[in-house]
Amino acid sequence: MVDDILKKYPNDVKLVIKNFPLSFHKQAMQAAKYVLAAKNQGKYDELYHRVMENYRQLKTNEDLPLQLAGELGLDVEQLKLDANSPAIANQIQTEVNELKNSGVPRMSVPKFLINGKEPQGRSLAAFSEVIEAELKKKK
Amino acid sequence: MMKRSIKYFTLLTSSLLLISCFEADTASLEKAISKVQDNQKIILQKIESLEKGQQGLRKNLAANTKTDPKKDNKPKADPNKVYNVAVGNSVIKGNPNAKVTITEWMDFQ
Repeated sequence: MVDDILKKYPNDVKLVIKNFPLSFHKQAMQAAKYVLAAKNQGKYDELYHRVMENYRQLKTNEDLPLQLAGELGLDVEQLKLDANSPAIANQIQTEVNELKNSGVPRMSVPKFLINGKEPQGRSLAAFSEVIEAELKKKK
Repeated sequence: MMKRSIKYFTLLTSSLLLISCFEADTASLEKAISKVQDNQKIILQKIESLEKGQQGLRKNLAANTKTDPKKDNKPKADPNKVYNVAVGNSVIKGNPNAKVTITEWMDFQ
C-alpha cells in the first residue's frame, strides 16, 4: 500500500522506514538486522521485500534472511558480520526508542505518521487525505 | 304385581342416579373449563409482558449497534496532533527532498 503512495506522489512523498521488532517475535530482531545490513551492499529494498513475502517461514527458520540474501547474490558472510555490528544494533534501538518516546498512543506495528500526524486508517484514501492537506499547506 | 313395582323402583333409582351423576359431571367440567380459562388469562398476560420485554431488548440492541463499543469507543487517532520524529540514520525511500514524510515502524512478523 505504501508503495502505491510513493508511486502516486513520486516527488512529494518520501518514506522513512524504522524498525520496531516486537520482543515476542524472537526472529524479528535478527531479521531486522540482516535486512538493515543489506543496505551496505545496496540490496536493502530487495531483501526487505523478499523477507516480507516469506515472513511466515521466519518463525521456524531464523536463517531465512541469509538464504534469501544468498539467492539475491549478496555476500552472505559480509552480511552476517554487518548485521551483528554494534552500529546496526544501535540503530534499531534508536528507532524503537523514537516510537516509544514519540508520545504516540497505542504502540502497535506497523505504525505510520505522515508529517508527524497519524492517518485515520490504513488505506490509500486515508493516507492521500493527509498528504493532500499537507501539500496544500506547503504551497 | 310386587315384582313389577320392584322393577319400576329400580328403574327410577337408577335413572335418578344417572341424572345426578350427569349433573355432577357438568359441574366438574365447568370447573375445569373455568380453570383452563383462568390459566389462559395468565398465559396471555405472560406473553404480553414477554413481548414488551422483547421490544425493549430490540430497542436496546438497536441503540447498542448504533454506538458499537468495539468500533466507536476505540480511541481514534487524533488528526491534529503532531508527533515529531527525526529521520536520523533510518532508511529513506523515494525523493529525499519530498515535502511530505511518511514514517513507518515495522516488524518482520
